Amino acid sequence: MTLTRKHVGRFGIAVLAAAAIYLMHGGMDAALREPAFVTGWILLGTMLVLALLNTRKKLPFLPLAKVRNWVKLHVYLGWFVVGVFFIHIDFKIPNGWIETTMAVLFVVVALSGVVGAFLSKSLPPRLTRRGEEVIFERIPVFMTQLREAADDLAVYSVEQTSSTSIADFYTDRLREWFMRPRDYFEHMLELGGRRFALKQEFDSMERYLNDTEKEVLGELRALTEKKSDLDYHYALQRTLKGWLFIHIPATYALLALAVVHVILVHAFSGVSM
Amino acid sequence: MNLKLQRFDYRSSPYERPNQEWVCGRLAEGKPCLVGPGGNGVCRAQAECRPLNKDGRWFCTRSDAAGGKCSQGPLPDGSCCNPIPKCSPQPSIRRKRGMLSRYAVAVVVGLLLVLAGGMTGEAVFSPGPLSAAHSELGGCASCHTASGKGMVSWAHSMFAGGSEAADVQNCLSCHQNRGGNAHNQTSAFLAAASEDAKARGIGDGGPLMTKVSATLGLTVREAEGGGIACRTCHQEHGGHQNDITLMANAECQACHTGKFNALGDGHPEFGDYPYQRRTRIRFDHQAHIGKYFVDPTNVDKAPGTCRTCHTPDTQGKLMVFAGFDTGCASCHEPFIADKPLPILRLPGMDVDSLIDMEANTGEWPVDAEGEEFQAIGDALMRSDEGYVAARAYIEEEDLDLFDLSEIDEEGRKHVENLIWAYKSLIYDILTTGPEAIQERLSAAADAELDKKQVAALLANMHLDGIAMLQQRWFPRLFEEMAAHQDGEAVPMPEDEAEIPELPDDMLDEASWAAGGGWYEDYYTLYYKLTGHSDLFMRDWLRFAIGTSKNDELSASLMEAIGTAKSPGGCVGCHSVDKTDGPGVVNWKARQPNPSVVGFTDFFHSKHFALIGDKGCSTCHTLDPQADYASGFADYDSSTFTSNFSPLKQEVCADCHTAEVAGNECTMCHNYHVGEFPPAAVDTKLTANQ
Repeated sequence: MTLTRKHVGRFGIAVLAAAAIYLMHGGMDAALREPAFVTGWILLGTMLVLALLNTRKKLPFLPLAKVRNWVKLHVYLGWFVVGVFFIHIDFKIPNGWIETTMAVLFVVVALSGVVGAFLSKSLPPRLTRRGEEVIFERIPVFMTQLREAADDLAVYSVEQTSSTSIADFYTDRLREWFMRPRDYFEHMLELGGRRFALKQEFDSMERYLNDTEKEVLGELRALTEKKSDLDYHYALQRTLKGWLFIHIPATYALLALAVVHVILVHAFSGVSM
Repeated sequence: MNLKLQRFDYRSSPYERPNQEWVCGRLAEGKPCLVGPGGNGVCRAQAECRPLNKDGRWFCTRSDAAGGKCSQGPLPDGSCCNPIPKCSPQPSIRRKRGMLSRYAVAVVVGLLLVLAGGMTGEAVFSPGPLSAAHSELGGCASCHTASGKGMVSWAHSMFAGGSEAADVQNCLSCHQNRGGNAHNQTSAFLAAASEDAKARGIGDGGPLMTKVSATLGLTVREAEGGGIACRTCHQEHGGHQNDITLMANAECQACHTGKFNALGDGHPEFGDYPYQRRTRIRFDHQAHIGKYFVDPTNVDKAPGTCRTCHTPDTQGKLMVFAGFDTGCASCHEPFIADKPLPILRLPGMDVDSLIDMEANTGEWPVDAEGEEFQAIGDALMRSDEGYVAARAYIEEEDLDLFDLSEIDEEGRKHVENLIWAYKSLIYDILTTGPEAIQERLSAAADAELDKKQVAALLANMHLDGIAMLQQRWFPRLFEEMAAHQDGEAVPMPEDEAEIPELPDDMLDEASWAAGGGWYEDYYTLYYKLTGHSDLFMRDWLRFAIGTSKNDELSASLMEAIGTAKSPGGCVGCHSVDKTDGPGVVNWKARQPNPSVVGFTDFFHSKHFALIGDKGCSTCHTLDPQADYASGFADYDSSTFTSNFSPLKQEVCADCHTAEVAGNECTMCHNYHVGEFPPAAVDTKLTANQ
């Protein structure tokens, strides 16, 4: 992921917009107005626009610009909202129950958003670099297919070679590994320790096999590499979807509290909206 | 070996719908059916295809993605030969995320309701603890009127508002006198103050945010009901340690029409500050320090330093004058009581002419020699019309009472009235007592005096004192007054009544009253001052300048007792303030009053450690050219010339910068100006049973 002039430019616009809000806030403060009302509504309004991304994704048939552009808007508006949030709370930690909870939720939403944006930028290129393109929801199917293929190969090796060497190797070392997605952190961190260890085991074993067995072992090695690639895709795609399990629920909880907060501050201010 | 897993052609790849809420329960096993669960999460799979009847024969309809037509084909009854066992559909990722979101919302809202209805009550809605001073206020409704109407009404209040004025009143229920206009001043005063500040030179600009505010055209919002709401400046819910009185410089300048950056950058010159009125005690520093204190006869009595006379008050704010005994007595005490004050003196008359013309006067002492009317005696007789007319006639005609041989009938009548006025005064006092004085002074001053005031003005004069005057001055007073009141003529007798002589070796009265008090000498009643702080002088000056509404009477009395040359010379040092309404004599120098809050505060004691060898003169520089005395020519305290040069702003600005001593407006200035007595508690007195 590299920063381009476009990235800097858009981020700069978000910063400038936040700076404008900061000046307006300061100007209102200097006039003994209550800028928190204005920044609060800006904050809430912008958060609602940000939340519309999720709605937009649910309505793919509507001609409401490309989701790609919505995501860009979401990211840069997100940076803007972070700025407005700190202006709104006057760069102080709030100390009311509701306000503190909201602040914590906001930080969770913002941080998860930043992490999500980073993941969304950094993981897809890694996915294209390794293995074939697979649909996340279908990975269990492919994993089953690979396991069944490996099972069949193990049986086939006994029939073809009259030796249980490969079948024993598969049963002892690989079958459990084929059963479900493995090595999440290793794939996320691109460590490759498991792949190297399996390669060494395959290499070690290959020295003691005849040509027929070597051919079968080669097919098993190919299946193993395919499974490893599938694990890699599973780990990365799961992460790409997983951060939203923090980001979205926290967003809705934040919006729910924001509604309560808006009612309270206006009701207790003594003046009408 | 073909290891391509993902295919995207419709024949080998079923269509994935990530938006669907449910997925097949066998997906985790890697064997999902192609039918998939319904939208309600119920498995709807029955068989791999739904055979088609064509020309009475059943045909398999299994899709290519599911493996194409099966080899067995449909069963004879038309059902598929490959039934799909039922599964328990699982929520999709999207549904799991949605459920988690709903749980999160339910948890926070539920928690809020539980807390609101449970242990914390409405505290859960508080945006933070109150400051320490307010921490004992009970509940939101103590300040927020809207709160007391229940949660349902909050949403209504959000749109309707209208409780601000009531909220302000909640504040004012404890903080009386602080609401309303800025600085508790009228708009006219504030406008004049702005003009004054501009005249003294004020910067153009102010802090950045002030400029932004001006650019945006923002002004301070007027509260519902007028004035400025307390909350405009005092923001609560910042925690126990939060000081809600702290104000940023930019906030102070929100209202001020002239904006500036800091004390040393654009702040108006101090003008007359701190010399904003005439000193209450007339003390010419220049004359005393430059002349009297260096006089060899006084040098041993002169104070050595400023501190001899000026000491800080308990707050360290004001430098209080140490008082007469410390600062003045050594030189001035001997001269205060050296002159007696004549109260009533019988005027000298041409008694022979009065006898010759058979004037209706009764007896008049032939030896009386008074030539002037005494102010206090005059005040006591002003309610007597005959006296007033007689005195006016005498002054207009320049009548010489020692030679009445040529007097005409009108003149004779006025002289008779004058004599009866004196006699009536003594008679009234002797027969009616202090009430006679009360009536006479009330009438003369056009004011209502009470007995206590009269008693103070009599300065413990005993009835015997007046009786003695009567015996010496008018021995036949009672018979003459009785006849006079009956309308009988009372001619001047040719022979004087005999007055008993006092023994020669008896002490004369003036000597008796040397330490102060009443005495009579040669047809004159005197009061001898007791010294400094004489109550008789205090009360008569108070009567003259404060009680009396008769300007002529006031002027007459002040001429007699209210000048530097009057007996006691009180007003020589104690200035008199009188512009509109009752005046006051400033018996004391400026006194600290912790209840009074002015626009500017200066704590002298905080600065003592900072001033160098120049000491007090670092700020207070004597001005040798100043005509200090001219400020006391009238009773207006605002027209004056200070002994000291105006205070230079640089003296303060050198240290009061943001980096050194701080330059917050509120270090020196107050917003709530006025008198704010400390809060008191009314506790009903109850006895323990």
